[in-house]
Amino acid sequence: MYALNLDTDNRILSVTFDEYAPEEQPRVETLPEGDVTDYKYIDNEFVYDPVPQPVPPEPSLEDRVAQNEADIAFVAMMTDVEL
Amino acid sequence: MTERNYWVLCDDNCRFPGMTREQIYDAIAEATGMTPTPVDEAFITMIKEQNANHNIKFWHGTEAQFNALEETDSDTVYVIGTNKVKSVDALEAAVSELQEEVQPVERGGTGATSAAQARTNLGLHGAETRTLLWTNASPSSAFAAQTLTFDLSEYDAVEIIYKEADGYSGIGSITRRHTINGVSNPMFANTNRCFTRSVTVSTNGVTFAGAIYYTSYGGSSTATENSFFVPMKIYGIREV
Repeated sequence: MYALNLDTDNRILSVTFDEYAPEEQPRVETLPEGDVTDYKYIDNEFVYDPVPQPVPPEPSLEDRVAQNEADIAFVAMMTDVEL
Repeated sequence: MTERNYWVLCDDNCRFPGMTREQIYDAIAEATGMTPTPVDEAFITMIKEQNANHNIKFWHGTEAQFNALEETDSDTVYVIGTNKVKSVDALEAAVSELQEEVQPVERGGTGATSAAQARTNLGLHGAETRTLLWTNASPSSAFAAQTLTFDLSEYDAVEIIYKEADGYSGIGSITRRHTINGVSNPMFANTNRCFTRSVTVSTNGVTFAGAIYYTSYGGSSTATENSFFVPMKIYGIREV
């Protein structure tokens, strides 16, 4: 038997086995296929509701400059070029 | 032949029947089941046991002598190794004294009078117990920010085993020991990206922040990646 750790909107955050969970957590006999965090547990049923995949933010100008500096430093180090 | 009667006269001329030596032997034999030898060498070899009302004998010798006996008799009490039969009170006192005595390690004791010294003597200095508190029943799932509730008040630390992140080679399983101090404790791992997840352990549970990675080297922008630093097992650690 499994115990569900639910978020406030009933999304499954994690699952463990019966003996490791507080009594107030809901128990189920089986788990849905795949990533359990794609499901909510509502009225004793699993509801498929995947979290939208976060889109990585575009690097800011600051980040791009930092990345370029790091890349240049790496190439210089590998080629013994003094900057 | 008629049996003679013998009489014993007292100072006041009162008389009462006396017994011959043979009559005394017969009386002893009747009482003990044994015919005694002459008086000067006589031993009462059997005495009456009061419970079952039968005759029993005593045997005393060394353990080697006892082991050499070809057979033993259920009506004989064997006393081995000492010529002193102690009372039950004396035996209990001796046992109590032995229990109070510190036994050396080589005899199964600790050789110590304190718990700390006992641990040292037994080579347990630094030993600890591990109690499994939680295990991930869906290890292939992501692990978002959340709190797992436990009573950690009796533990000295918490050890968490994180699984190898799917899709990222070279990291492997990570085991991390956390102090129970309520302080946020960030973990980092580098593959082609720098990942981090903060964990806070307090006496009432473990709080995981979401796992994130930095989108560029040296930058500050981050994105969520909850498939990283997924806890597999949580142990409570107690120093012995």
